[in-house]
Amino acid sequence: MSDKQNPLRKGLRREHDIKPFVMVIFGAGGDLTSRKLAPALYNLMVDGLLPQSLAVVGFSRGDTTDSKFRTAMADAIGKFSRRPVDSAIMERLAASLWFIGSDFDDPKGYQILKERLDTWEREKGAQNRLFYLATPPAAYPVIARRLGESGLNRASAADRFVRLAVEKPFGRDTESAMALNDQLHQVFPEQQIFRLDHYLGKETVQNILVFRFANGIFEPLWNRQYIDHVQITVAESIGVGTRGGYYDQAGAARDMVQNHLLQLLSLVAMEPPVAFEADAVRSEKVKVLRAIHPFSPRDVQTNAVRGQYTDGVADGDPVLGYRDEAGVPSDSRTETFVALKLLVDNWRWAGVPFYLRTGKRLAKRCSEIAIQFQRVPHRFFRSLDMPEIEPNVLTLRIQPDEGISLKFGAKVPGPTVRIQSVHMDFLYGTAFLDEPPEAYERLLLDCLHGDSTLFTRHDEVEAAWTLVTALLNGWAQANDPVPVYEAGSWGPLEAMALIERDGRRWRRL
Amino acid sequence: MTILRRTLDSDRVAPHQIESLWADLRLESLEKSPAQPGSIHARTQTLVTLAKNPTRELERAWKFVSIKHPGRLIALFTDPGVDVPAVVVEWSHPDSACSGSEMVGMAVKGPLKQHWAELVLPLLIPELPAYLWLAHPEDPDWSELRSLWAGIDHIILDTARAAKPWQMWAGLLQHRLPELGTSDLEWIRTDPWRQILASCFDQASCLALLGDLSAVTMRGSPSAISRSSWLMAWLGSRLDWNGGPPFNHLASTDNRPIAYHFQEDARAKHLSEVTLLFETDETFCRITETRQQLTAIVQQKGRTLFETSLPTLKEGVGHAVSEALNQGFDPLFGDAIRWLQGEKSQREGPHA
Repeated sequence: MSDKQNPLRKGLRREHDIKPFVMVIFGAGGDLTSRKLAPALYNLMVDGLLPQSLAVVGFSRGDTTDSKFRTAMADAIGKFSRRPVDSAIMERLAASLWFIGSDFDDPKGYQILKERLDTWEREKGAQNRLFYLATPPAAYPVIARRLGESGLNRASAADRFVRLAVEKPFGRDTESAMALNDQLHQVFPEQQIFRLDHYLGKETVQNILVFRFANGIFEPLWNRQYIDHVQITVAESIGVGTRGGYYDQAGAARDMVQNHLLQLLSLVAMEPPVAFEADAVRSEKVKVLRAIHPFSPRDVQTNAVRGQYTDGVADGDPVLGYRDEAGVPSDSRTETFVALKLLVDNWRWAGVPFYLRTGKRLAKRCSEIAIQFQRVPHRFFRSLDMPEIEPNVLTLRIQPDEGISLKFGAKVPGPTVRIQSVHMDFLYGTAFLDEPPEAYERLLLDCLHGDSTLFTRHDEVEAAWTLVTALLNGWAQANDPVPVYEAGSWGPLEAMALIERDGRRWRRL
Repeated sequence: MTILRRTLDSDRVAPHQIESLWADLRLESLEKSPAQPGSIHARTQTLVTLAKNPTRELERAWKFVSIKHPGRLIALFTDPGVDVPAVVVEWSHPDSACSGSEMVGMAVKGPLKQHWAELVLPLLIPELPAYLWLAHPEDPDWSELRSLWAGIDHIILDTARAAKPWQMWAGLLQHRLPELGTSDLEWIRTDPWRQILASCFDQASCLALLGDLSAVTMRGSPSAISRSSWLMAWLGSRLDWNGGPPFNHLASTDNRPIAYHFQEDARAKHLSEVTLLFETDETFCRITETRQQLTAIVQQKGRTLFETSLPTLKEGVGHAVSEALNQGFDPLFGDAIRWLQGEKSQREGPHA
């Protein structure tokens, strides 16, 4: 029911108007449900953001009962919720949890699901449906097809919704991503599909748009006239852990570059959208992705570096090298590190390199975007025999120490003119003492509201894959040895050379 | 929390000396504060609280507000219960464990307007919104308060405990400046009620009933008069009713009478139940409040059309004040005031 028709809805905040729904989590036995989805649902319920009439159905293989599923979810929430568990609210959520044990390809399971959904619709008024695919990507087409065959992909009336949420990775390359989009589109129109990249649910990532477009002072400087280069770093200190088998099929380019890093780049580089609406924002992001200079085989050699960690020391403890991790073949050529130099071929960014780096077992966990401005055009202070004045740097820290800082030069008090770089800092933790919601809480809420601004569109995914596929093909063709780096370092020496060749250097984090 | 205390007789201290006193106090407080070196507490506003004396409830409220809205809290106590020379000042600086705001408490003697320009105005953070929260429950002296409007952007009232909330509002409307924003915490506290009522009529099957609304009954403690009145004002302005307070001659746009009844319930803490009755037999929408949870049910001839629930705003005046700071000017509030004054809603119109 739209605002125009309900006179009482006008002017009220929308966060409380989620209609009764059923959420079906395919693959509910996995880590994602325990660590992220269940705690997110719990915290949304604590905040009163979920309707009373809801049901959450785990759909997965196995003979788990409703009762065992509730216990497992309660345990998971107790372990992973960002807030302590309130027993009354937990009881209420547990009463909404159900389980259907079925293979993803078994039509009988979908029949049972349909009967349950129809019953809840009659008895609880839960007329809206969210199908969440927390499964390996290979299962997506099967599940979508079965949902279509059982008629569950269609809402029972015009004012009700049916939505499909899928996790990354969305495909392995351009071809598979396009094929997957086609397969899903045969059952669900694009506006019903929500592709998650949990980075977009982070407050600090959402703040990039607010920072750029709610403040008038930065946009005039946000171009090649004033910016020398941009560095985007997503560094992890952890290794692959127990996920070696999965990771070896993916690698850093698929796991991180295709989604998180390119999302950050597109938010930094995009043009202002005409409105803060899903398609307006996403269209601008797609334009950026399409403007990135594509990799030729030669570009892969000169503008891309990959690496693989060897044994070293992380957080003070000795750690294994990648090839010694469980599930990883001893001759693996999968990259755990990627560094890229990208150019965005448009009017705003022509000639401004974007340096991206990401990797596992790096020196510290850190995600940030650093915008380094041009140096002063004239050395006003050269007569004072001072070292080169450092350029201004605007840093958007995604995690940890979430915040924004600006580096600029100031005179050191004293009888002579001495200039020192200082930082002007905004820290989320001290400015807003309230704990922000977890990314999945925000994303689930938006999904239930039908707001797809923070979700990737089909063309966005494909454009990102086009770039990364060319990179992967270039590496495969070249078949060079994969450079190595010691765990606990900042990546292979080749990554240093990538940026130092241009007379720049990676930020010391 | 680092607390510094000073006593001064503002009659003998020149204004510029008071300003440098504030600067000294602030600096001293910063030096002594255990705040992390290099951290900066971002400031979002100044909140001036006018109260007779410090109470536990106020202290809890300030602590809550200072976390949600770091800034500067200034408390003016006009009847602190002790004989003060002229002004007693306590200044505390935020530390990461305690709060996000600086706090200046002043117990003053004599007429407020005498002290306002000297003591309060210099402390308003430049270029940031300044709010004045009138924490007195009783009818304030509006002619005196009017002298305090200088430097203030928004006034927050709380008619929860006012014996005659409409008199409070009449006084404010008469004396305030047009550009001054206003909030009533009792309006803020109706937010969950309005949200849940709106949710009920988001459903197509329930929306059809709105045209047959015939009566509204509310139940609550005697102190719920203001809250129930704001709810009625909201309904009246949204549904374009004719009539106004005391709500005994209400009519819909097609001139059907709409009955209103408020039932006092001594056991209730505040507003505890709202029922909308419709002309169709046995059809109603009922919202009840139990243990900080609102539950709504819409039934027609015994069949449930819709039900839902929502938490209420937490008890504690700090939550309501924080919401007031979040919302600033609420156009729906403006519409409700205009409806109460007998004007038709201007939904896109200027601030009331």
